[in-house]
Amino acid sequence: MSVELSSAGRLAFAREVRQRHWSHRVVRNRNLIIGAAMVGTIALVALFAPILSAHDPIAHDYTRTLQSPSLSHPFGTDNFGRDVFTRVIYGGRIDLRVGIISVIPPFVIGIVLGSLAGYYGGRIDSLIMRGVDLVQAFPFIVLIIAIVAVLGPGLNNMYIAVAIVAWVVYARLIRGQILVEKQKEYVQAARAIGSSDIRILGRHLLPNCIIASIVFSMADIALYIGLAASLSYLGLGAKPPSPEWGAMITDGQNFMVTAWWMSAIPGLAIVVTGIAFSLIGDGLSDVLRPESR
Amino acid sequence: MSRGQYILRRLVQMIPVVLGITIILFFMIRLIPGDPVTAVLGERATDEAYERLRHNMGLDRPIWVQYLYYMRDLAQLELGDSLRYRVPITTLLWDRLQVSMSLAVYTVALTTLISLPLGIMAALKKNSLLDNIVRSALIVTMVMPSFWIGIILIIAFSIKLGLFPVSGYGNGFIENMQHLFLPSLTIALGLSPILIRALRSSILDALQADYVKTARAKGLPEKTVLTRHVLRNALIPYVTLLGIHTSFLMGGAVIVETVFALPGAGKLLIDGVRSRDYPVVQAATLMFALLVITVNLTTDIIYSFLDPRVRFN
Repeated sequence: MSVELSSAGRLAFAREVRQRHWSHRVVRNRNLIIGAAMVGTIALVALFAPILSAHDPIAHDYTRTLQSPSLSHPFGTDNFGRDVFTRVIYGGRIDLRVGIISVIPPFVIGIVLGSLAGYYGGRIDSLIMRGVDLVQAFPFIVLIIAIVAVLGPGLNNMYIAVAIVAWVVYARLIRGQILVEKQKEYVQAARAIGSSDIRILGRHLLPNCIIASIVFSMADIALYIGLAASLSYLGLGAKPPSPEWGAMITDGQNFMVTAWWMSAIPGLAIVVTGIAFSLIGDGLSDVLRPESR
Repeated sequence: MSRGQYILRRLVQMIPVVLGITIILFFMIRLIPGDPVTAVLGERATDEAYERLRHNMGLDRPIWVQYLYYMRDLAQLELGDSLRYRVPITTLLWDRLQVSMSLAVYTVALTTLISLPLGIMAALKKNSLLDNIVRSALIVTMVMPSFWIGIILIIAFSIKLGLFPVSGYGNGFIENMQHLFLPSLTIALGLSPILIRALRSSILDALQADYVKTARAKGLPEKTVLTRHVLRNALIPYVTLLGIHTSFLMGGAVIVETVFALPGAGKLLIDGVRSRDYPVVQAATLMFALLVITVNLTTDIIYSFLDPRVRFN
């Protein structure tokens, strides 16, 4: 018996096929679009900071200390007379960079070790997973602080500390998925036609398993911006004249009652940037894994 | 495998992790640039004094012997002396640990008070205005750095309204509770979003489950269905998650104790880092790690009691 589709049925079918394509879901995903637009704007503002502001982010000007927000200084000035707006947009250069640079080493290390553990199993797996257990026995920030304490303060040492500590999350994620995925038929088929392990991992397994880690890395960027800010607050991150947002909040802490804008504005910058990356993460997870909605 | 065997096996599994932690911390302290003997004695010590202390600290022996000494001292709860305060670290840690533990318990209580009702309401009134407000507010508190939340709370509740003390720990139970409120709230505001999200989705899952349909079909009142069937099942992952996030809580304590000048173990760690008091850093880090694995073990055991479906293999 042949089945004849009505024209309405055909239209619905065509629409469904279209909706299944990822590019269609990207365009329709509000979170992703808003998040990407926000990150794009923040990046552009940071990039064109010298054009957007005529003030110097570092130089002191004692004739205009602690001025409240006005037309000439939309976010006021700090205790050294520096324009807070200028410092915040220059700070975007530091904080965006910190967020993105921090996420790369743990992502790469975690993907490599997690894939090896999941794919080969056995001794390699137990060795890598015992490493994961070890790192996870420490509270995240405590281990970061201890490592920075040994290496010395500064953002570069924070990158190293994050690489040592944060890979475990990605390793666990990717291992779990490879364990499931490697049982599937297409992997057995690839093995049957004699594909090498590297090819099976790189061409077949990773493209199917890496999505969750990518989604996760977006939320991690927000986390690392917050971490860099916290380390600056503790005196272990960016050093004083730097307009890093956390350092700015710390500078403003003693002036919270008289000059609230000194801490409030860089804090808001962290929150807005964090929300932007979280929205991208949520959006990506909807687009790339429609079944999880 | 019985529950007893399961608990025993989890305890045995802890041994390599604890050993690993001690090895990491033992070697980490040796990676520090500079010489530990000079760190204690200063640059102007005589050669004789230098050699004597070097021998007393065991630094003239092979590294694995030094590690065994370190382990022997640990087993006797000898954590060495603080370079800065010149007192045994055990005494320093003990007082501060009590402050940190009170902070942790207070935070868990506040977090539960915040996340339980909000998570339940958000799930039962899915997609309502309330649900949307809760979910948007969560994204904001989740990305706010905890020290910034702390500073804002101090300004609002301590300086402007005068409701809570600005910093310190106070004397006596009632003062302690007053001093701990804002620090606990700071951590709770960061921890709650994760729990509310999880609770909301596990309640939504439970509402779809067959046993809930059955309960409704046999004519149970909606209230009974919710309390006996939905909540009871949805709360199991909530408890586990609360346990898993102990690590987050401890990390939060480190920063928040510094913001509120609470004399806890976290502040001891940060002060140790700032004054390069490495034995204190080593001991405090070890203690935080031991706390985390103990709580994780306890969570697993509680979980095995809460959920009869847990299989011990």
